[in-house]
Amino acid sequence: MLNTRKIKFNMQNIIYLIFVPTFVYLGIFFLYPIYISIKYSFTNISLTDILNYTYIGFSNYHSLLTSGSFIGSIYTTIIFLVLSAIIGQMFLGIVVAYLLSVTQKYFRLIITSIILVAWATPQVTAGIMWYSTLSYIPSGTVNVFLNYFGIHSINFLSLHLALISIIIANVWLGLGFSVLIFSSGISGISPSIIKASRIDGANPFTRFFKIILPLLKKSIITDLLLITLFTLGAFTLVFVMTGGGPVNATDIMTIYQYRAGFSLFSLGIANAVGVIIIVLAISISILYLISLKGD
Amino acid sequence: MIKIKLRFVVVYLVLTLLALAFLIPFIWLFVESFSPLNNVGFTIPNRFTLDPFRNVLTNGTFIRSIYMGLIQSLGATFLSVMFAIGPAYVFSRKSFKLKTPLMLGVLLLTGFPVFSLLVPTFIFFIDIGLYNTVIGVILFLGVLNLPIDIWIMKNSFDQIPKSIERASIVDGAGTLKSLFYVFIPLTLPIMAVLIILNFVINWGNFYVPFILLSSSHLLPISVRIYSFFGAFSVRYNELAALSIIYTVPAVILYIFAQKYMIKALSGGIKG
Repeated sequence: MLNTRKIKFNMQNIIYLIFVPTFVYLGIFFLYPIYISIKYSFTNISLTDILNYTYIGFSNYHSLLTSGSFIGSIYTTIIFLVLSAIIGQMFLGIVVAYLLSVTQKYFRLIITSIILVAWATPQVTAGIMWYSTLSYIPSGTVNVFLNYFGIHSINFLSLHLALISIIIANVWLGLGFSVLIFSSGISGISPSIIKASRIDGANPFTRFFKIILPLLKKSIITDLLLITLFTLGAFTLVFVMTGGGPVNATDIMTIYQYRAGFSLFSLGIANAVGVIIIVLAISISILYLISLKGD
Repeated sequence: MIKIKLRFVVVYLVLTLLALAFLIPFIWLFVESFSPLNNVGFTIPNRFTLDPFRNVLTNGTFIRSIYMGLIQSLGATFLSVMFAIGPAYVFSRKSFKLKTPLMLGVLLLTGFPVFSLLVPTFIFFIDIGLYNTVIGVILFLGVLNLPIDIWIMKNSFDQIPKSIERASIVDGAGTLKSLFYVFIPLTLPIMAVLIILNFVINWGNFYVPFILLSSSHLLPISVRIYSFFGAFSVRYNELAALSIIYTVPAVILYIFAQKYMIKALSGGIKG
């Protein structure tokens, strides 16, 4: 009697074995790299000899946080995050989704598709396209247009303009995602609410700020989290367009990490930069979970 | 009345201009790929030609890179989807003590800044002999999409009514059987979309093969395009043609699949 119950109990639980292969896979190729990233960030491991390294405590972190170039990279990343993710993608995304919501169905479909094509374009292609489009000598598409209207060519990838250029390219790439999120958010708002506000005589701007925005709170938080994480981890587009240059003008943290490891051979420093990025990302995710729980 | 109409005209105008601006970067790509000239800037050639496409498609190195891209993307897609099915099913249908922490853990990995893992993975792969192997790239690309796949699949399983599952169990099917004969067939359309999305994401990934591979003959098309672009004397018209071959199928597949993805993702957020 006891025996059969035991067997039954085991049969009930056997389904949980299904987790084992997946968690082993995640453990080896996802969690273990996180662990060794932390471990190597406390060593002087170098690309020239990855087998011999010694533990050097917090030296890597200390030299990073006292190095002008890394602090500069953090600044660049913050500017990139604020202008590209928050203003360029999230805010513009809400506005575009709201404008689209009042237009005719087929018009909306065409415009949304065009914006989505940018989002679906592989980043290597996007980087090459933008490099050419903004080219100074010979004149790329934008400068040809400017010349046509009698305006002098602008060197968009120069020291002062390169950061703005990669921000514009990144907004171009990422806007589609936010528009999708907000379009589905807006379509979830009951039409009777909007109708009621219209009868109340609210003008479109008040309607947008007082009624639409508060109702989109959940979409906004979700979008903000995801695009912040995307932007924090952005690499390919910027790497192809500018490689972090000229000088350090577009040196976001991921590019800094790449160069520390593969140009300067200091894998220890590169791992420390990686750990800093991971800690930032996890803090942002936790803030998100807390703010969702608050509802 | 006129005021309202004017307002609508402005909305349509603004959106049209925005869409046109979004198309600007593509102008060079398409003009250059049919151009006999070779120019990183923008010039309209006096005649158009298919030569860049012909040259690219008869070049063994490029054909090989397309093939490599396919193998790596499809292999990784297979791994992510296979390893996601089981946990997605259990998360959707069973309740157990560790469920919430495990699901939060998977969610946290979903938004993980994976680029920062490449440096440690690079060292790890050299240590265990997976560096510069196709299987290494497949294993790492595959694990990156696994968390989001578990979420999307769990949400699609959630939509299967309890009654259908109960009926299959009354019919004498065990849990595993009902997974294979009820859950997977019923969610086949979402599975198809998921496979497409995984493929497109892997196909578009540049930095994983860029850092984990070094032999020229293993490089997938994403990396091949980049090294072509960075070469000394670049044939830009061929670069543009190759980029179109690389990009257009992926974009079409993505646009086809995205409609379903947003449903699945927003379901995931409700979780």
